[in-house]
Amino acid sequence: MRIAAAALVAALGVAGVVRGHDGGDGRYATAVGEEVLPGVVVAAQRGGRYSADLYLTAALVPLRPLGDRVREAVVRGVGAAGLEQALGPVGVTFLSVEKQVGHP
Amino acid sequence: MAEQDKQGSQGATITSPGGGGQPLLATERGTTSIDNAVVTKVAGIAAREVRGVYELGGGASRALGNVTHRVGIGDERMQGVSVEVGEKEAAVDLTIVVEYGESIPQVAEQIRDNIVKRVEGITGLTVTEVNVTVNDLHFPGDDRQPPPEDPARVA
Repeated sequence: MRIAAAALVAALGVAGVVRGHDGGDGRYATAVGEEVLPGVVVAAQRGGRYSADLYLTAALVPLRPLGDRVREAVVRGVGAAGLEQALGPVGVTFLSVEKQVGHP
Repeated sequence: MAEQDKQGSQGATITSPGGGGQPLLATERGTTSIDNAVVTKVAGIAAREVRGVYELGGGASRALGNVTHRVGIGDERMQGVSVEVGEKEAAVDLTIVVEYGESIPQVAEQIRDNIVKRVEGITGLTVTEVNVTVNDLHFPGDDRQPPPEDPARVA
């Protein structure tokens, strides 16, 4: 699923995002061929669009603004893959946080 | 494939994800949610940052936490912490072990201040209360390993 891959790559590129979180039991993951993308679920919506939901582990940073930055990055990343018209709402859920070495 | 068919608009709808996530911010392009586990973990980390806190959790919770952590299914930063999270506010209860010699009222006050600062700064939630229960005192000698048993005198 190209939207899932583009969305996850874009989200992971945002500073403060540590990794995708599959929910602990793989419920928040998308299989693309043999590859599994943890932390992204794409769902069909009305009108031929797809919502993209990201489930993430973040650093100890303010999460609301980080969520906005992730959403913007996903829209940009999916757009760069030529799929912007197919992208519906982008949900961002922080499931965990991690103290990063070197951060206060 | 975890792709799901979710007919119906979720555009700006506030939704709560499975597993206790809390809706926080809805925009035209989607929502941002923060799971309760995040609030719990932030509160636990904040409490541990305070000098005089030896450990979090009661006796049973610490014992269970040690086991679950050892087998890789638990997170010791969450033991001894429980949170109640609403739309905009959170309340935190925690159980701690304090180092002997530290002032318990001062430690408790510093924990409150740090949890409020960290949780509010990271999640944007307003912390309405932080209830601290001191479950035990830790004495420096408590960590000492028991001496090895005398070797058997007979084979």
